[in-house]
Amino acid sequence: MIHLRNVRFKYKSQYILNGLDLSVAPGDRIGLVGPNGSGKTTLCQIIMGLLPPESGNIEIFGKARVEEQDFQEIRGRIGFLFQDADDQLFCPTVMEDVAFGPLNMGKSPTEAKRIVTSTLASLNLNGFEERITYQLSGGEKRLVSLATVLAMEPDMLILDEPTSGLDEETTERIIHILNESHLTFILISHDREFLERTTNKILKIKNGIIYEAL
Amino acid sequence: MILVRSFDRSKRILAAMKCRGFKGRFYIIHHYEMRKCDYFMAISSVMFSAALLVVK
Repeated sequence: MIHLRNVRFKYKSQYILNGLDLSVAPGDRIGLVGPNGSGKTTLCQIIMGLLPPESGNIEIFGKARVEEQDFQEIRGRIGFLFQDADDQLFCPTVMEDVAFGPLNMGKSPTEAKRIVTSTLASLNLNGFEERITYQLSGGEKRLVSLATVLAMEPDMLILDEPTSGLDEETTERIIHILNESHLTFILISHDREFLERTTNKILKIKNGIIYEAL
Repeated sequence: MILVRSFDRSKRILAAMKCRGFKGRFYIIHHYEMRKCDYFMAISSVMFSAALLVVK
C-alpha cells in the first residue's frame, strides 16, 4: 500500500529522516517506536503530504505521490489521527465534526447523518451527537477524534500516540476497536504492552532510518 | 508567544481539515430555515423600530 524509498527530511540543518525506507502491505499492523524527536510524527506527516520531503520517492496505493493534488486523493483513504485531539476537533458539535469528512467526500447530509450515528454507536458513544466538542473530557475527545477518522471509511489508519494520557479503561476500548477493525494501520506509541496487543510488527526509528525491532 | 502558538495551532487545524478531505468548500449538515423564534425576532424588531419612530 505504501512504499517510501530513500526519504530525507531536514529540519534546521539537521537530517531527521536520512534515507528512510518503509513498506506497508495490506494487513500489516505496524507499531512505530523511537525516542522523542526521532521523526515519527514527521514521517506520518510526509505520508499524508502535509510536509514535503527534501528528496525520496513516495508511492501510495500504487501511484507516485508528488503534488498536493496526488495527496488529496489519498487523504480520504488513509485516516490520520493527530497526536493532540484538540487539533482534530474544530466544529462546535460532535455531529458536525464527525460529518465533516463524509460531507467533504461528497456524501449527502442524510447519508452523513447515518454514518455519524453508526460510527458513534460502534465506538459506544451513543447520544454524543449534540455534545459540544470543546467541553468533552480528554478521553472522550480522543474517542470522538477516532470517530471522525473512522467515519471516512478509510482503507488504512495512521494513529499518532492514540493512548497517551488515557486511563486503562479507555485504552482497553481503543485496543478492542483496533483489533475488531481488520484495517491496516501504523501506530505510534511508547507503550510496549499496547503495541504487543495490537500490532504484528514493530519498527523502530533511529538516526533517521527504520529498523525492524524485536 | 500566544500569537505564535495560535498561529501554529491554526496550521495544525488546517492540516487536520485537509486530512479529512477539505478542499476549500464548507458543507453544512443543518440547513438554515425560518423557525418560530426567527419570526418572533423579525416581528419584534419591526415593532421596536416602529416604536422608536413614533417616539421621535
